Amino acid sequence: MRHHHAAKALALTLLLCALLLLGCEARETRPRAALLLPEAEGHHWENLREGAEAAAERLNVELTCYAPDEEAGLDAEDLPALAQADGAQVLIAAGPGDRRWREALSTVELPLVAVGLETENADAAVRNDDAKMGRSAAQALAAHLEAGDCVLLLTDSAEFHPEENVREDALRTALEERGVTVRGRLFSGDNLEWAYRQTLQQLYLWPELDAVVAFSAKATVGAALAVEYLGRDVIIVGTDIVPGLIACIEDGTVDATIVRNAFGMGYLGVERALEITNGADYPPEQTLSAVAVTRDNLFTPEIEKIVFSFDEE
Amino acid sequence: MRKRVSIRTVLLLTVVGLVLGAVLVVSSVYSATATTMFNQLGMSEMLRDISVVSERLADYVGRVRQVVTELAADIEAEENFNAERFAQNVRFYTGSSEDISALLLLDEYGAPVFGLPSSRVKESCNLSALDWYRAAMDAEVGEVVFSRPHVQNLYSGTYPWVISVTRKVRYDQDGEENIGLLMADIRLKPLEEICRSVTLGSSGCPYILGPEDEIIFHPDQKLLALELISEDSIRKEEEDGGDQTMVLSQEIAGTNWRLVGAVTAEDIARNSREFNSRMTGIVVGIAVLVTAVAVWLSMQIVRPLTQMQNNMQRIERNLDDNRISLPEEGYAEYAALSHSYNVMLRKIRGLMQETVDRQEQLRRMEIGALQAQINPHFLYNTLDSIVRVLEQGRVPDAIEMVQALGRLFRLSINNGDYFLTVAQEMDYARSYLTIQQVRYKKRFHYELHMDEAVSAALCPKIILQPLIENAIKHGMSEMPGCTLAVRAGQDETGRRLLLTVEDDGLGIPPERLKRLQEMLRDDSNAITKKSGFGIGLRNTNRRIHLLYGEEYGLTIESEVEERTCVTITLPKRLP
Repeated sequence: MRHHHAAKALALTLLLCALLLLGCEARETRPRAALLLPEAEGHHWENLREGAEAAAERLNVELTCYAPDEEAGLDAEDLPALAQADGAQVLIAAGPGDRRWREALSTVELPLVAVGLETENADAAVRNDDAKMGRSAAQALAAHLEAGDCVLLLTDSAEFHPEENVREDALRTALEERGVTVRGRLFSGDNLEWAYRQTLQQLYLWPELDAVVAFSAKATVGAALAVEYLGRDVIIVGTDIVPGLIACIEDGTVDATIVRNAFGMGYLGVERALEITNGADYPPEQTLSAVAVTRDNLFTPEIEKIVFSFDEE
Repeated sequence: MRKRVSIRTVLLLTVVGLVLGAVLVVSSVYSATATTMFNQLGMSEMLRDISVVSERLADYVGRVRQVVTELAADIEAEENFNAERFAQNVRFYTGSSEDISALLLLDEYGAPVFGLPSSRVKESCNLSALDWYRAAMDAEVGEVVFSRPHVQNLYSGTYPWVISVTRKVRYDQDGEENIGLLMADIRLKPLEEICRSVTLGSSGCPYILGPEDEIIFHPDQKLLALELISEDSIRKEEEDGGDQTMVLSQEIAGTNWRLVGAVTAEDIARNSREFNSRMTGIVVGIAVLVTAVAVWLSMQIVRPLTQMQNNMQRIERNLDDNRISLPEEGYAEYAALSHSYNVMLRKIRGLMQETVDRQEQLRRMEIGALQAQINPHFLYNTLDSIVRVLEQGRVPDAIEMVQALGRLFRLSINNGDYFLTVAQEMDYARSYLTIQQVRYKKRFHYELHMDEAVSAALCPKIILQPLIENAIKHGMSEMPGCTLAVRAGQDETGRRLLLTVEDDGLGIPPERLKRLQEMLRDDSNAITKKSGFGIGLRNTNRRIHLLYGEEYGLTIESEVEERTCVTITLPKRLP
């Protein structure tokens, strides 16, 4: 009996020592954050994700990205619960997003950071200045349009998105102030082909169309290709930037594009998430501005840094 | 009662204190030495890293610079610029090297005269609006200029970040002297790879600053570009460093750049901190282990003692229970100790039993003495004798017997004292003999002799009476005219009291005498019961043994039909 107790005591001691040494070896636990994207593909989402990952690496956050997966039968609405089940401590929900996306996010029990998304239950928000984007687009058009001219609008989302709506409202208001009207509003998404076809169709239907405003980068390229194809003198103002659009700006097919700071939104979203997790003080709201890129400023040092990737492809 | 420190506590504190003290001292010294060593090593490693990166960058940029210089010299040496020969020269100098991503000869208006790869060179570019082009054209002929990082837009479909190494050249073409710009592009990616080949602390890798402290390369350049981190913070870090940051800066040979690496004190101390953390873990582990071993050791030592203590307390409470003893097991020392204790315990129990037996014997003796005092037969016989004497009209004899009987009772009571003086005992013997002489019709004579030196000495009361009774009953009752002599004296030393009862009666046959003597030597109950005689002698002898020890007692001598003498030897004690 005595030996039995001694053996138990010794075993316990060795276990304690092992745990102690393991504890010394163990690394500091990193905060676990989940980035929820309502769409799997798209230049905006890729940039946002890239920014979030850069922040996660720099700030030592364990970040997992979740996006819908048709093949796996995973809808956007399933993502919050999935992230929560995976042990995330804080959610970073990206936008714009539709009603179902907002409803899914409204039920989360974890701290929530809204990135480019208008939702009521967010603990912190990193917003894009959509109103300013709309006004910037109108301003880019203004130099080329006169009162009575008309504009075609290619939207990014099929359903109602408050963020895009703010942008559209600001655009319309600014244009109306100059006597310019938005004659058509079509959904093209971030799809070059759709935008090309729709622009082509509208140009046939409305020969007097003076300008096209596209709310996505690929749609802007599509519109530019359509205009170039018909050889029409139509002003094009786009949104965001992709390599094809750079060429369009450089050769003057696209007059301007309003570039959102999606990378920055992703980055700041993770930064807020970390601050929430650590219980630190943080700004509940932060708004990032977009910049207008034109042929004249494309290769200026200020714009180069924003438009062109440092990573070689 | 003052609380005493236990062996366990002393052992525990001693072992733990000694081992931990030694470990702490050794680990402290070792840790301090290792910290200094690690810090120095960390610093020298970082300096070496910066130096290595700087050399690699200088080598990389130097090769491009050399190519530009050599090609420019070839162009200027040519009497008439020939694009084909120039292309051969380019291939000769660059070979398979990928250091140069693009090479162009531009005329003074920015139009490409020669481009490599030629297929992708744009026909027209508005270079005059670009800072780097203007800076290159403002330089003197022959001066090699490094541009700031910029996006190269001279090629179709690609917009790489490059640093243009330019040299203004004079070249002849078609008989005219022209001013041109020879430009070779260095991609940023190789620079980044060289910088990232080393890791400086947690901040990442070193970065490159230009002549006006503009950032040529920084690991976080995208974050800087998007103003997600402030360039001022880098500048501030570089300028003052602060107490916690050390800035390492080294010129990159052949350029006007410098390589900067910022390391914090925390970065430098990381290795030593990890070492100290591990050392702390080991010390704590040893502390736990030593404490556990000390506890175990103290338990090994103290537990048997505690068990022994508990057993002893149990034995103390049940001392008369012979079944309880200390288990003789465990370590040899404890087993030996338990064995010794058990031996001692057995002896104590033997002594206790002996004492109990002795007390019991004494009690029986007391009872025997009392019984002798009030023996109803003796009383009946005496009274019967008195009646007979009176019937015979021998009134004086009757009176003497009654008086003698009275003295017997008085002396036997003696205020409850167990001892009489020798004079009183002799008086008792006399009274008893007086009565017995009447009863036995004076068929024997008696005489009493007492040495006055012993008259005041003490002896157990009624010790002579059984011997006198034996002498009368067995020695003289069948042999009229015998004489019984009772003497009280002392030995030659004067320390021993000698009381003798001697008769000249029948005597004791030798065999019986021998048995009686054996019985007196070994006065156990077994012999007494077995022999069936000499009960009075044995009891008297045992009584003396119990009171005074084995060295005192009875001795008996006898010769058949001659004499029998029983001597009582007692210590001479005065009241």
